Amino acid sequence: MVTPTQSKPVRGMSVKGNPEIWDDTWVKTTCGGCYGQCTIRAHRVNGVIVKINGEPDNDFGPRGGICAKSEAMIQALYDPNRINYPMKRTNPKKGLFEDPKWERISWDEALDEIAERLKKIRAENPNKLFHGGTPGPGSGPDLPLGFGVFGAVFGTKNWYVGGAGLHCGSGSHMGAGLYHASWSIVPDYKYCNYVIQMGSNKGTGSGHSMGFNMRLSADARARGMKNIVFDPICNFGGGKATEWIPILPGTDGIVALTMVNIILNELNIYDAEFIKKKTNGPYLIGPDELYIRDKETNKPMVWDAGDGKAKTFDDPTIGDFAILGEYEVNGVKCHPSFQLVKDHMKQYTPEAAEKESTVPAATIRRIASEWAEAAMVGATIEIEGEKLPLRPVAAVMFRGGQGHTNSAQSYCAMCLLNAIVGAMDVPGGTLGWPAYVAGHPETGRFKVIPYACKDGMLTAGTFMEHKPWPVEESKVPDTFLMKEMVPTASFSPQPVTSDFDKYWDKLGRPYEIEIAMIFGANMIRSTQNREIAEKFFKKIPFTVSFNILPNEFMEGFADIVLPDCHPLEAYCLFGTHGPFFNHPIGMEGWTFPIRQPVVQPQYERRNKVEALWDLADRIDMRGEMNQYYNVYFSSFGGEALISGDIASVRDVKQIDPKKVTQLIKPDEKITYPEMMDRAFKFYFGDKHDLKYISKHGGVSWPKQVKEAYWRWYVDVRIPIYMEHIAELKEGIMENAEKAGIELEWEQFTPLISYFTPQVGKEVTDEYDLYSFSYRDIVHNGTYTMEMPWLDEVSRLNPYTYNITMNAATAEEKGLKDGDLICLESPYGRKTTGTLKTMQGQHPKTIAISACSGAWAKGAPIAYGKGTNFNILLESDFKHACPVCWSQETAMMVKVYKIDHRIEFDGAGGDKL
Amino acid sequence: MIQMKPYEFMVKYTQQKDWIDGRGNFIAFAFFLGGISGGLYMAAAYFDNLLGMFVAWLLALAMGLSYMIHLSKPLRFWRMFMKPGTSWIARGFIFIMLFIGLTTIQLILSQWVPGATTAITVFMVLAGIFAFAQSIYTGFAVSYVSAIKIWNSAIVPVLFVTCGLTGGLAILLAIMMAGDHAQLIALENIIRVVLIALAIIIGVYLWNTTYSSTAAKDAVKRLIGGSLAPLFWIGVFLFGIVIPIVISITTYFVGEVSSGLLTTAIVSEIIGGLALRFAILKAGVYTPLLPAE
Amino acid sequence: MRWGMAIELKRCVGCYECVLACKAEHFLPPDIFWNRVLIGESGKYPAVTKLIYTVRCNHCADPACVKVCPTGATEQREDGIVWVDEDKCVGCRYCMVACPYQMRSMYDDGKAQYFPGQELTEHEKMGRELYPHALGVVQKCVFCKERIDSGMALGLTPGVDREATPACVINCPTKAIHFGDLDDPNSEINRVIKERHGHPFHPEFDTDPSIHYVD
Repeated sequence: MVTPTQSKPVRGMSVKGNPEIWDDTWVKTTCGGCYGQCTIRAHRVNGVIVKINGEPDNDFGPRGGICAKSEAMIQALYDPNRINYPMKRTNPKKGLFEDPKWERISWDEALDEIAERLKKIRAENPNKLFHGGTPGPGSGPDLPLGFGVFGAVFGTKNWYVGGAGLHCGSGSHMGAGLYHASWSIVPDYKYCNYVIQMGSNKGTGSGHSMGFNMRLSADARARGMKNIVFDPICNFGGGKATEWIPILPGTDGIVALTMVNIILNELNIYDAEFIKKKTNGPYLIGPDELYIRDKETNKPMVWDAGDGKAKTFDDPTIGDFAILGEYEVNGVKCHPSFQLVKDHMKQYTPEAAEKESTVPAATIRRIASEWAEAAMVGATIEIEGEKLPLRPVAAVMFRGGQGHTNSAQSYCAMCLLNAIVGAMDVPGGTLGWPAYVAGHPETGRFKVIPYACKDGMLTAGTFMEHKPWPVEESKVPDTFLMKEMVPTASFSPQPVTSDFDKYWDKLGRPYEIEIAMIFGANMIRSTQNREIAEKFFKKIPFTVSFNILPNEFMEGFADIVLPDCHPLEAYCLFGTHGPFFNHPIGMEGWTFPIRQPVVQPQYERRNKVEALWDLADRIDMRGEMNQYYNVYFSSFGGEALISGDIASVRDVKQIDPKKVTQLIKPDEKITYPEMMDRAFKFYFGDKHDLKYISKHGGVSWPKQVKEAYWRWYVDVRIPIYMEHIAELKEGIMENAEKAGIELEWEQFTPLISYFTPQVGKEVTDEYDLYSFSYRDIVHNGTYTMEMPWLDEVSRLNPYTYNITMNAATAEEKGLKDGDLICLESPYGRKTTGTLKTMQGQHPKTIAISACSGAWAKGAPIAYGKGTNFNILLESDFKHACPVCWSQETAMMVKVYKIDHRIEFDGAGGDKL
Repeated sequence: MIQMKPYEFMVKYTQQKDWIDGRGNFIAFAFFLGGISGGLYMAAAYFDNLLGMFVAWLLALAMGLSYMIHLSKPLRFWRMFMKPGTSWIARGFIFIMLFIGLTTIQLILSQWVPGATTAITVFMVLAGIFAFAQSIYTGFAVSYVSAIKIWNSAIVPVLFVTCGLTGGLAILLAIMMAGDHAQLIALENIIRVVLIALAIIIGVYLWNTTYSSTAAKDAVKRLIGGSLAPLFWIGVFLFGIVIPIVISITTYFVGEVSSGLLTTAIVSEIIGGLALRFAILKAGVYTPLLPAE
Repeated sequence: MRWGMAIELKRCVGCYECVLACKAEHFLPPDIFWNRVLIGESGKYPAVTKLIYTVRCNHCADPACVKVCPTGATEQREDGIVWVDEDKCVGCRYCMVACPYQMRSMYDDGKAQYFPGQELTEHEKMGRELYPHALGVVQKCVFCKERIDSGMALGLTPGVDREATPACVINCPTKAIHFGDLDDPNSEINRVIKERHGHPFHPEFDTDPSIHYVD
């Protein structure tokens, strides 16, 4: 018998010998590796973080597990390339490959200089401040309390989100907002039996709610849930599918609509009750494409089949909503919108869909009927004593499916599929991230409830940006983002485009950006096309960047760099903005998790929110910021505002001061932990102070059935007929003309339709491959490439650092594994990398994973690894969805062998 | 040296590298030295050639040295005696040490006490046994590895011994050419037979292993048509078999041949023996863990 | 008692956390892996299946590595765990050659560091205190024997209590890896193996692995 161990055992850790251990502490906090913000326990030994475990005691994550990014965050924390001091650029030249020649300065010098410039432009026109970033990776999220606030209070409307419309889902945020009052959607893994997944890696690679999605989707797979994945590549999503169906990029919409057609017009299956009571299906539509409205109240009218007459939609006497047929009301012929939708679908035949998408007609037919059958329309289930509809089917989509110029319509097409069988926010169906929080049981606070407003339509209780409903009116653009012109737009690619100047000129160039403040993010590598971005950022006279590690943007364009805290050394109150972003779905319990330092920040790294307060002090803005926080906290307080969206909080002065709880007095100068302490006590009661929360890592409480499956508990409807788009069209066209903007106007149609994406219009014999990128499970944004562990496993993965292509296609083109190849777009943009062939890829495509191809000299691990896909993209209105402004994220290319990596010519690092 | 993408490790046929890359070169070299040392001793003992036995002793020392260089913790070499029950490396190490020890005694007796014929014979027989053991164990060490199908063959020990013998005979030929020519013809006759036997054994070995498993088939493909083909066809086939056989047969028909030609055959034979060890070690291929594409 | 694993392939998404959890737990140097994720595909377009296998030492009941080791450095404990006594290993690499699963590593580059040419990180320095790796010897997965031993000394149950369970098991976000006693007919892993028809990886290698996979 061998002795079990030669060392003195230490509980829960592997040690050898008998090292002296004077600190053995587990700190409960949240991961900062992606948006997911999973709850974690970080293990600190002798002052050093040695490992990360998932938090087993709450549902906000994988319940004990964690993903590789989280583990590798330790290496980002201790990266010798970290930014430790404020630095100033001494090389006046800016550009992609310019060496900034950093010079260390003090915090006072840095903040004084920034403050002086900010003061000047705030007096002139606050819109001259361009602020933005990414609320997550590599930098604390602090979206609501940090950079979002600063710009809002400062008064600028030029808020640009990193990789806007590119890495994010503009169509899906708009669509999920309209249909689920939420930011994104997930199948109800617990009860769902049949999922159709389009262009997304939910549970297998997606950065959205990474942790609990991984856990719940694994449970579902083990349980036998069918998972049909439409995707050009069989890697993350497709790799875990029960059936992978290759599809051409950007054609998901037509497949979804074809399935709607088959289900409605061939199988004749639909959830009539849902359509009658939960959608605008019964609303009568006149020949002008708009609602027939009651002359007195202006409310949309419906036909009561019981009484045989038209009534307003909310008339309590309605016996039966007509959803089919033709009627005459107010002297005009009209139809319930459901009838129009049903008829409109007839054009989407499986054969037409096959031609566009390459998915065999028979496959579409089969999946449509299997899915409709699995929907079990009419079935119910009892959960905790509540009887609810059971619709164990879901159709979900994210960035890949909707990252095209038909983004909004394609996403809504997929939502329509769920709507016709009533599989929305009911057990087994498609769930939004939690949109309904009744509040903490002790205080009733931290409350968000979706509600009906204009035309009885679903309105989100809170939203990240402006709410998708009610839509605002179109305006002549007066910001650099221009999206006030198209109120349905989520995020805007403008002004980092090649056509911005044309429009701004036409508008008479009302003002210019003088200062850019960027928080986290890598505006040059994660944005569509670095050359276009270079042109824009080069012109900005003064740029400030907060970050933890050097990146391409900072090196090329920042004048002052401020050292941020790593997520493992920072406090953060709102890891996400409200529950509708990343909180666990279904009956998974509520947790309000917090982030706290596991180790203290070294050198001169600072919590960026406190640094922003210092800046606010210097420009006399602290009082306004304090007031903003009061409004913000109160908005979830259940007593002040029904809405907690940042956009409405922006105009702080309009809010009734009586409804705002004064948590921070205007002249108070508190610390970040003090603010956390007050917010917790306000939300969760006095005993839940900072001390309590620090110990427990947050507050947890059980979810109620009506919160998890709220659809039938709230009297709201959703638009299966997008009347508002028809209504907006004319105004948008008028305003666009003033700026000289041309959009694909036919997409402004109320009947959800398919439009060939821009990429599909650019197919030629020469440029014959659809190139696209997709998320890799070990990477997020650009900064994960700098973590050696993730770099190691990326090299061990056949796809992460390579360009992939169908094996037969490669053979046809005379290419083989290991070839250095160049991808060239019809616009002459080129990127290069190493080929890896695979069977699991659509033969007409070529793919690049993750946002790789780094060239920053300050990030040596990442340098030269993989291929930067974004170089290939165009950034202009021609390549944007006219309705939601998503970017076209696929590009036609030709491919050929090359002798070296041309995109690194001039980068200044090792020759590649 | 071995060109493989990191992500192909055990996903595709994976060449073993621990006994060939870097320090691993020395184990291939040690196997080679062990083989010719054993072969030479046996041949020299048969012809009672003291110089030959002495050279075999030197080669065994060189083998031990090469072995030590291969170890990353050479100072702990004595631990290698610990598990002869199951480990061929442990057994082999014991064989080498015993061979060296017995040969030392035999050489001392032969040189300085030539009258002690009984003792000399006893030690020579004993040393001969361990010369054989030292030669064949290298084959068993390799063939024991069931994970590598091309190695995992009963023919490998026979092959290694035969190959060691051809090398040993070649060296003995060189020694005899330099001195006593009397037994040259007899030696040449033996060499011819052994060379032809080696060629047959190699052929049977490759033929046989091709059908033993897909991994072995892949390995054989590498040897005869893939990345190892130059090593196999030029090193093993041309130097190890063709040139020596052609020269041997020439000597058979021509009778007296120039010493230059014989020297060529000897050098060629030794290169061939070395190439064979490298070729077989390099051809060690593991079965991929993932189902084949 | 015989420790083993049951791995549910359907759950695993190939996130590599098992690899990094192990790297963190044992402060493994660059390019040393005690476990790996093997990725490939089977079938021909369009009927393709992606293959993802998390692999590590199988702690075979009949291990080739133990037999070939000339020094006795590679040992098998009574609970089935196969480990290397780094004070005894001579570095002959026979075990590395003999393992059909190729799950052993030689640590022979003492200068390897995660940020080459830059200073060692605090994490790396701490690793050299808490879990130093001997240079020039073979190393491998030890089923986190230190966690098992310290846990059992405290009355915890490996496979049930986190602190007594291997790092790759507890950190798996999809709960794909189960750990427990193969000799205990009532253990969860035996239930999983029985109900879901678990099978070892490549039984034809004939080493009787302690890790079973279920589809």
